Amino acid sequence: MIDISACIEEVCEHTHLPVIRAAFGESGTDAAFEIMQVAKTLYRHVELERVKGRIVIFRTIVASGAVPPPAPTAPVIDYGALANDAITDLTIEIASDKQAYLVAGVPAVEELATSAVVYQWQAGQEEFLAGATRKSVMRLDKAARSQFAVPTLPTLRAALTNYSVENVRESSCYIFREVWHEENRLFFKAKAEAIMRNSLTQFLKNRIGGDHDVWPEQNVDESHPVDIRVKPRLANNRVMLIEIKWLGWSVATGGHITAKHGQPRAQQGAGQLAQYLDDQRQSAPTSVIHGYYVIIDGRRNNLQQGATSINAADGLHFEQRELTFDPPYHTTREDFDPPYRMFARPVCNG
Amino acid sequence: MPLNPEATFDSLFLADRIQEEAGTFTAPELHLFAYLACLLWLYRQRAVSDWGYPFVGTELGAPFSQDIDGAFKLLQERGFLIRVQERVKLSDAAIQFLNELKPLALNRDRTECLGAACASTVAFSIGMVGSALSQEPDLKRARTTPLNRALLEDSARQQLYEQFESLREAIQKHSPAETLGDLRLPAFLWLAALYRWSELAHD
Repeated sequence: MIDISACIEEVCEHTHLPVIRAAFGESGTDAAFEIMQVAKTLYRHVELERVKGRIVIFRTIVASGAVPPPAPTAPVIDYGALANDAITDLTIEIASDKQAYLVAGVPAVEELATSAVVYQWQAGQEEFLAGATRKSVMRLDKAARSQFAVPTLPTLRAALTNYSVENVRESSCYIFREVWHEENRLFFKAKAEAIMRNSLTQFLKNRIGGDHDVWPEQNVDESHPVDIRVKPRLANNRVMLIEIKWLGWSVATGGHITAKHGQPRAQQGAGQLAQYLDDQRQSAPTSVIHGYYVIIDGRRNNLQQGATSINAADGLHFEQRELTFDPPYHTTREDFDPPYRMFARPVCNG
Repeated sequence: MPLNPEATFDSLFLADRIQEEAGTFTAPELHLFAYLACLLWLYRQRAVSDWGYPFVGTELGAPFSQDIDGAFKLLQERGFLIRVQERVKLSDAAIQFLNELKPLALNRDRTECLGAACASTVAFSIGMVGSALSQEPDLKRARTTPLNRALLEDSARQQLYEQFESLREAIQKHSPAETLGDLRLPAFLWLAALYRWSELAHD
């Protein structure tokens, strides 16, 4: 097993900060942190999935003793105004007043980097350039489109809602996209549950893990269905249990169908979670236990074994069709959140 | 329990920075970043006894300080903290009080450590900082012990110092410099390495 010294060496070799400092000294480190902060603020306002071109952020390094160029006379960047813009290319300069400005007509990034720390994002890839060196940003959160776009979310509910939109809908999480048997996202792989659990566990750890412990469970059998436990750090008697089920078809590597799950499966999962919550309350009567039911919905209409493509009408047929539950535990029990159905879109052709 | 002045300053400073990042903050986040700042204090080769207050590791492997807890409760009682659902934020009076404390010379060295700890949030969410720090040698040990235990006692610091030595050598190799340098750099690199280590442990 790799030891921590090897990890330290790997990180120092493959991350951007050491080469920036080597190129420009402590001014370079300052510039890099300013750039990362601007990137983080920008990505709070701009949805990276909608950016068609490239984002460049740079900070010129002024030689010791030299007079820094004056800040532009244009107004500083209005991040909020960018939220609904169709963004192709965006270039931002952090000027000598440490404010960020939208600029145009700047030289190529390689030329800029001779006297500036430059950050560039394009199609999910991000890198820093400083002097003659360039280094990719190490992507530690595999669910994010940028390492500077990993938010801290206030509650588990907010995190689950975010997970649905950001990671499942377009399978944009690098871990989650492994659940699919093929690129067009028609069939799940057999036994994709473990991948779903790992994807959601990492997402939750990184977004609510400052004050919650999140850990995956091994499902022993149908009577112990819970996939993830979440516990607030300073409230020993509170536990949140997450159960994940998926709907749709799964296939083995050879292409034969291994499971077909529809509405009854969703109902069955709800019943299992309700029963498990009852069992837990009996075995730990002083604990406040709450259940969260996540349903990854990969159903496709008119799907046939061996299909490799689907049109939009069939592919998105179930997207807006909510599931119904009988009994509806989320309305009859206080310890059961409304189910989180997360529809995972296929790639449609027409 | 008497109020610890260092823990009170640290709580206000960290709360201010965390709410810049997340809008609001929670008590466990204050404990987490106070502990990271204390570790950076050790990276600067200062004595743990000079930090001003101790920590214990909970059975969940999270850091906890009685003094931070005391300061948090007192700030709450005095109306310096405003509840926002399950989280809190600083009142204007708290920010004003913090601004009076910041320039004091006695807070200068610890401000460097607190600031570097918080600066890591440009690239790591608070949850990622928590995941990474859970791999810190003493917190890792705490996780295997079903009781709260004191952190950073003499015998437990050896592994930590070895990690810091590896970090200093790696930084010097990839980014040679004659000065001690900005503390944000080792903080960022060490957290990234611990996070990678935690991923490899789960692979």
